[in-house]
Amino acid sequence: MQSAVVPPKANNPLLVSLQSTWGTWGLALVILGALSVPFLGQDATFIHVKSPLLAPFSNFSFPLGTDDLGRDLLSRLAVGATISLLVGSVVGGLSALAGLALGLLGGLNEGKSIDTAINRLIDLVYSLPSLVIVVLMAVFLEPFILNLLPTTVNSTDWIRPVVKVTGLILALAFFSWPDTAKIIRAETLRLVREPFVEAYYSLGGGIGRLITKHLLPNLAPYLLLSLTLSVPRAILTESTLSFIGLGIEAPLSSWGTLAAEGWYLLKTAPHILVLATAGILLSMLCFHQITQQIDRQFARK
Amino acid sequence: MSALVKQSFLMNLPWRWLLNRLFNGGLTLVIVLSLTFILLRLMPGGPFDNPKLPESVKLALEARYHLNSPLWEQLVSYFQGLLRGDLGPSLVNEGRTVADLLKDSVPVSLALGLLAGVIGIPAGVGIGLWLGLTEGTKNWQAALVEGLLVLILASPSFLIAGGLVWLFAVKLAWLPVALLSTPAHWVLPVATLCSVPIVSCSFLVKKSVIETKNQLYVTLKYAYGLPNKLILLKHLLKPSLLPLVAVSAPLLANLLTGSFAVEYLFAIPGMGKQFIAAIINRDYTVVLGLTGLYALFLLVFNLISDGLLVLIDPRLKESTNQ
Repeated sequence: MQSAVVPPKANNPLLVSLQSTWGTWGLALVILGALSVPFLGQDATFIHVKSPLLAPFSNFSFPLGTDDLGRDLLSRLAVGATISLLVGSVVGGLSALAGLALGLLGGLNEGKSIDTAINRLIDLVYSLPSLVIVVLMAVFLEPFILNLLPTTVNSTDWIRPVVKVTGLILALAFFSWPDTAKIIRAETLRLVREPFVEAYYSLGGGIGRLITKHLLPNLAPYLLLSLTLSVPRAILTESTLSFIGLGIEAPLSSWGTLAAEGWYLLKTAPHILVLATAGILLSMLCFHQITQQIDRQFARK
Repeated sequence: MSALVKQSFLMNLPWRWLLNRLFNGGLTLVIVLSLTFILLRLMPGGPFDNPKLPESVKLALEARYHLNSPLWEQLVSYFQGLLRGDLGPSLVNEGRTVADLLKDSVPVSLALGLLAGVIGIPAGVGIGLWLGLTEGTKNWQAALVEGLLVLILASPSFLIAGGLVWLFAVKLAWLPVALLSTPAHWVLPVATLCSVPIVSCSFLVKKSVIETKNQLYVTLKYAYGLPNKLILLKHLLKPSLLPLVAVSAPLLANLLTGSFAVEYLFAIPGMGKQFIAAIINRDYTVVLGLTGLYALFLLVFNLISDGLLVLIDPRLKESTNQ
């Protein structure tokens, strides 16, 4: 059976228009920076005792200078990009998956008890004080996950910060999926009323193929839109929590922890805060630009 | 006559809707408190984990606060206390009740958040109106303001606070850096908090004004020769009222519950600071009280805004009735 929609091609107008915004390219730059960590030739956690607080561009081996402990700032910035993007994209991915599944489930069973249950759950999440519960969950999940792991893994020293990040990601994702689910549910409701779905059913098509061949291609732009909203929000929340000291912990570092450090050293080394700020601002502005571009593309339809 | 009008107005209020919402709100509050209670107890560590404390003293303290009885019994007795209006004693601050501690911090956070909302929302509406009207004309000031708003939208609150402190407190030394004592101390924290409602309200109003300003009925009003001010207020701003009310409630609730970073940066003794300290010290009753209060704020603001929406447009009764 022929698909009712044209599958995404290379000349998909949304993708073409995204290629022409600087947001996409700026984001690509940030991702490239995050991926460059192993090629920088500097260990972000190594302490160079003899050269603390170097100014940027003053020393060839530390292009952006060093912090108060003599750690290379360029590689710390790159590591920060890795962690911030990792948190953002995993939270975005998890909430996209959960939102897609529950949004489809609700939209395809409109008015049935499963739909009502999902809607109630969404309303409940919306009525929770999110930041408060994220802090609580992040504190609680860490020892909880540690207890689940076997003791051989448990005793390694890198596991604690990793588990902490996992807890933070789960807590952020818990508050992020309802937005996606709402968008997907509304769009599914609109799609199942379209004549092509009726035609599909009347030809004896099953639900599985309807979802994979007909609904998902139509939902994809909306999923992309919800990602461009949920990923930057996760990055922003993570950096705020890390800044107050409730998020990422050493030896891991994100833009938020770097900014917190820069805040204390504002008078002696203002470039640390400026660099951390630049990372956050650049990625946020890029995401904003991409969201606007998708919005414009939707309005054109 | 007036009595009749009053009566029919009261009769027409959506009482059933209100009751339904109040019931759901109460249920949400119970769920939030129970979840928090269980989360807190599953966390390792306790309020009396002090290596210097002899084991017998620790046990005696736990017995005094009934921490060793079964968990569900403690939960039930906590809710029984709540029904009497008793939030329980603080476990870490000897001799002080949770209500006592909340009395110190809540007014501060409440005043900060409300002040930011009262200043920020009208300011945002004004800026949005101006941006919407100047849209399409090559006005460089409008472009500048819009760029600034996008920049604020993209920055986390600690950056805005940092920028304001650096400029006004460190470089120019016009305003104090932190703490809250004189009115001058309030300027920077409130300005930081304000940025959120200003940005979201101005973008919302701008969008609505652009959609409305070229409608034929607005052109007609201009052709009638109605005063500009009347057209602005009555015909251009009115369509944005509905989304504005819908967005204000979560905004205000966020100003109250989301001021962690601002309170941290300006060393303000508000709810956020107290909450973090209470989590670290495992002061169970204080955490519960604060979480419940945060949830209550959120529920009340949502209820008020949904109620206003229903009064403005009764068709919304269906969609806002959870």
